[in-house]
Amino acid sequence: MKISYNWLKEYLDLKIDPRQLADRLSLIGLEVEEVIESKFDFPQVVVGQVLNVEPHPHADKLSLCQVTTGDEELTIVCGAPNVHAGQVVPIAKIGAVLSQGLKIHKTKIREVESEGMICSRAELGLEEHSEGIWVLSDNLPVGVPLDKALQLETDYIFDIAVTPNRPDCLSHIGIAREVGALVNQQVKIPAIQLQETGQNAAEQIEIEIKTPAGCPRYSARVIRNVRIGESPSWLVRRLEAVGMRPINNIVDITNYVLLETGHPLHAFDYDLIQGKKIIVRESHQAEKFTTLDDKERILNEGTVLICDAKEPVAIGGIMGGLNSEVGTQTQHVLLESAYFTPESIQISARYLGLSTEASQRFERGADPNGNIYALERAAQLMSELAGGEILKGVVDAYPKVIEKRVIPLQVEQINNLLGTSLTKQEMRDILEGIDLKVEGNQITVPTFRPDLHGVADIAEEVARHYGLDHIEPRNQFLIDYNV
Amino acid sequence: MKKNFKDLQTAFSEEIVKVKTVQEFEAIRIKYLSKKGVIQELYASMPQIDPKDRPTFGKEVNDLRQYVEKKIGELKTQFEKKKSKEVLDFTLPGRMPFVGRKHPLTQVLDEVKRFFLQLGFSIADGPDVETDYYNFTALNFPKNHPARAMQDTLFISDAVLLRTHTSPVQIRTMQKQPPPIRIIAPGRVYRRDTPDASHSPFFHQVEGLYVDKGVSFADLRAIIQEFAKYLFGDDIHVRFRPSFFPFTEPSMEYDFNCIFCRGKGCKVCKYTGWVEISGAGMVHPNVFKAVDYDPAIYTGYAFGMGIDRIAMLRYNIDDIRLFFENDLRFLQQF
Repeated sequence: MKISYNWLKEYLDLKIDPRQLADRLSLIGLEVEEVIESKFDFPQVVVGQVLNVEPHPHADKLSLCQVTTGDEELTIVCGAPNVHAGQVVPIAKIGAVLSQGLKIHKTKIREVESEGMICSRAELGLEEHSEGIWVLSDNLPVGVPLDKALQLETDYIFDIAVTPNRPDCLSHIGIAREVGALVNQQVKIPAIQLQETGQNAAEQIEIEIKTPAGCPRYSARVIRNVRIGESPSWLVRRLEAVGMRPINNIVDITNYVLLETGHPLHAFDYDLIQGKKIIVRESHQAEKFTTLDDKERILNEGTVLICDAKEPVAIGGIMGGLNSEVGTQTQHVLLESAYFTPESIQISARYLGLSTEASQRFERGADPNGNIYALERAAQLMSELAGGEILKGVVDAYPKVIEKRVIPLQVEQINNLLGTSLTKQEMRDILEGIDLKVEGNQITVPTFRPDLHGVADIAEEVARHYGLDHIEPRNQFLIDYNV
Repeated sequence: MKKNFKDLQTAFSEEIVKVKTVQEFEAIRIKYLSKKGVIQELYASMPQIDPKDRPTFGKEVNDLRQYVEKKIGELKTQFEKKKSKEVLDFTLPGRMPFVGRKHPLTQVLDEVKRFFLQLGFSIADGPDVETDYYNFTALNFPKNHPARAMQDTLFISDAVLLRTHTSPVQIRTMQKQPPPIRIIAPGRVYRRDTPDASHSPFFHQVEGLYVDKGVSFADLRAIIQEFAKYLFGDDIHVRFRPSFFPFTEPSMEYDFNCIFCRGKGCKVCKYTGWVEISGAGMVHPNVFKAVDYDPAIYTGYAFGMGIDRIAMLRYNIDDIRLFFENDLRFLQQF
């Protein structure tokens, strides 16, 4: 799991040195395999605008561009097919040094002088390979250095080897919670403020769960009149920072909320859902379904399928269908936030040979009660970033509520297992630091921690945050044997 | 015809007096007396001889054969006599016989065993070909759980596999006897890995298990710390990091101070000062339940260690494949 240090700062007031933080994360069981410094360091690259484009007199594939950088006009020979007059673009001035040491000189290209370069994302080290120049958003101020205009700050990407018992740490908020315990801060979860309008969502969609064993909860919202388009640059940067490709604002928002909360979401094109109905059922043996990667899948019996009134529209918790995908034509969105059981997803994902961001989380254990926050957060972003109108209410099918587990706090057993002599208060402080609730001798385990069942699990939590290296070795045994 | 036999005999006599060496002797013997030799060919030509001449022809061939056999026989005796008369020079310096030695992995394993045996551990064993039950199920790996994917298993059938770790020996031992238990289990383990400098489809582990009343992480820390000192010297420290294994809770991985830079940071430890050794932890209550031990009464620790890994650190070897190629030029350095 790739975690962005700058992104974590959304939830915590972080001052700790990123490399030091990485070391401390490794010592609480979140092994940071690599810290990648992502630095944007091109002071001679500014925001410019293309004024005019003419063909190059001596070359078919090159063009002569007049560009302005605010205080001066430059003639630049450009080889990209996607350059057009009016575009706002990054301009590397003479003397700029770009990615991989590429230095910009004043040079003649086929007898015409070029006074700089219009850059692609690859030339600025932002991606491996670019198809053409980087066309920036029109509202960026011309003449301002690009890093200032885009507020590009140095980021540190942690590549964390999250162990299979910690699905909650496959998210920025999950990691922030652990970091919060390290730096003694409460995580600030972004507040939800929704503006609901129009009809009740329940009038637009009805949900029926026929397989509560595989899908104990299915919640949805309807968001109308979204404008499909590119995501704002801050969102694109966050996705790209952790290695996810931006697609369009709606899909990007579901991915963003996935990476933020760890809860997988799916957006359907509402108009492609027939009969205003979602039915969650098990597949028949050898039932066929085409997923959104345009591959026909043959299912085994018992795979959880999300269907409309007529046919399947998604493989629950694994991948959506081609027939209901959000695209440029989409007007209204049906936003799904469900909970699928690990057992069901493990079998189906393995049978299908499919491992997706969603299936990896569900098969380890998502939070059956955390889905609503993810749904609200995504709905809010769709309203803010895509102009969507959120219909009233969440349609929530949750036939049997999954309660928080309550387990006893066994101070003596924990001390016996660890070889420590911690007080109950010390244990309580540690456990509350990672959002477990301790009342009397009872610990209430939030549903985002499916790994905590008994005294040994609690001992591990205590040991992790107390620090394994703070537990004194007991040499009695060695003394007995005269070592 | 007669003349023919005479010529043959003369030719043979002339050739045999020239014989000086064993090789030449062999050559002439083969030329005349082998299955495709001159004499046999004469016998083989019998059908072409006029039937009334055959008795004479036969007698001539027999005579020739007896002559040749006699001469060759004499020569053979001569050679043998000569050989037995060869003088041995006892003053020559002796040639060293080839002496085998212990494989570096065996040497390291012997050291590991010595350490634990003196602490009252005994040695336990289990099969390389294991069942899914011992390798996974009894060790608290739920069926279909992604934790199973942490280990790339070589399956023989659905329920039979090559063990991916020595931990099944924990179960086999605890099934056989009640606590207290104090064992180490060395052995070969298998993973579906493509061989490269740091991976091999098989390698060697030593499993450790101590179960009794009141065994704690503090005991585990002490023994691993002592072991690090025993193996690499008094200034080697151990670091534990929490981790996850289905069969231990709490689980951890342990690192030693880098043996080469003693913790200062070098290429081997990637400038971290630490090298990863293996995993350890407190035995999971579900593992105790699988062998009918009461987790409310007994606790225990388990640890693993990679023998190949330790040998690589000990001898500064950067390619695990060297251990298995059995190149004498490599093995004789240890």
